[in-house]
Amino acid sequence: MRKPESQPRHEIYPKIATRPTAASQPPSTSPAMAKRLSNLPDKILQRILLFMPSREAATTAALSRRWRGLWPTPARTVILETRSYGRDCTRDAERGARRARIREEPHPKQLVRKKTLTSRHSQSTLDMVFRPEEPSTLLFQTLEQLELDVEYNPTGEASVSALAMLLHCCPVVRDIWLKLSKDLASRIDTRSSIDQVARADFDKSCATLGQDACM
Amino acid sequence: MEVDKGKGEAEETRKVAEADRDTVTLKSSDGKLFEVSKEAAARLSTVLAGMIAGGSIDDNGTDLKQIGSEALENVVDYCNKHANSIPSAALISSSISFNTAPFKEPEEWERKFVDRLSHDALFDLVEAANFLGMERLLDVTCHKISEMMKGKSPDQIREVFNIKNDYTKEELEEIRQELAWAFYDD
Repeated sequence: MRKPESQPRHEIYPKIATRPTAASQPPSTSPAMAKRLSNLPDKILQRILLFMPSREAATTAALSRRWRGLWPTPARTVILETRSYGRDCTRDAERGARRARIREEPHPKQLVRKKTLTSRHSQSTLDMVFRPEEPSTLLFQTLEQLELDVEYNPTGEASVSALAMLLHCCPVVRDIWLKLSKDLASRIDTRSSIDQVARADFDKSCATLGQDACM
Repeated sequence: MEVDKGKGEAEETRKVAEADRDTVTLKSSDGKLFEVSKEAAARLSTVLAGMIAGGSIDDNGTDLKQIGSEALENVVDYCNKHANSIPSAALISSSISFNTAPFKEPEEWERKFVDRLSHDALFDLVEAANFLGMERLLDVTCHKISEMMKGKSPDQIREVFNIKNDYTKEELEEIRQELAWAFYDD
């Protein structure tokens, strides 16, 4: 009486790229640490979630009622305000878009301020305003390809920070194209695959994003 | 007589030194005293910076009733180590607020610093850092906890951190539907 082969559940977890060092410690189940995590204030729990891969952080909503709503974290995540052009494309673009293109306005001060996002999938256009200082969040839950036609300065803290925050909102993004201005292009690969850019999202680390280019 | 005079002088110089000394003394909840560089304390802790600026630092030991001696020792240790490490410009940049400041990877010594802590000591330190408004230490310790949670399913996290599942089956299913992109393998 053999059961039919079924797909293993939670297969995603081992697949997610975490740094092999500290993350590979065996879990300690000592009862001494019981409840210590639960005793921390929400603000601290959110700070912890901030350092987790977006996808894993999102699954913590399933832990208990208290954890529902802690993620996306209001602080330090990118805030996208959208305004739709034409018919009901906002939700489409947020929920259904698989590819997005972000163009920058001329002579910007930093990577993100105000841009147009074109979702090729749903043929919709959005104005995106990134306002990290305001506590609200929006996710591009299905976005797999992101094209950034912007002046990205890999050594600029604001650029690195903005890109990391953008990635935070694109939990399943696989490919990212960065188009850089000429003088900057020589300092970083113009196309990055999941190994580099997506890992930066998982680590929530601006340092990881910037360090190769920061000489 | 000679000895007494010497003592008196020593006392005098000690007092003078204390007036403009460059350390502050902190007292833990259980009465233990710790010295920490005034500069490092002011730079790393918004609360201590406020106390130093406001003149509410007690030379005989500023009472920190919420912090036990083990946690305070770690705080002081962190401040001293931080003061001795090469100052990273990014860490002391004050132009970027917490909300927008990018997170800097823990440096090698910071990683070692939190790795050696027991679970209880780690959580004590998180609470102390939170109480003292030590943003960087809070980042480093929270980062460590996030690493303990990484790569685990909700069930595993619940087990390790003893979190009670107060959802009904239906609610849990609803969440899995809602966050299908995160649970996509199901």
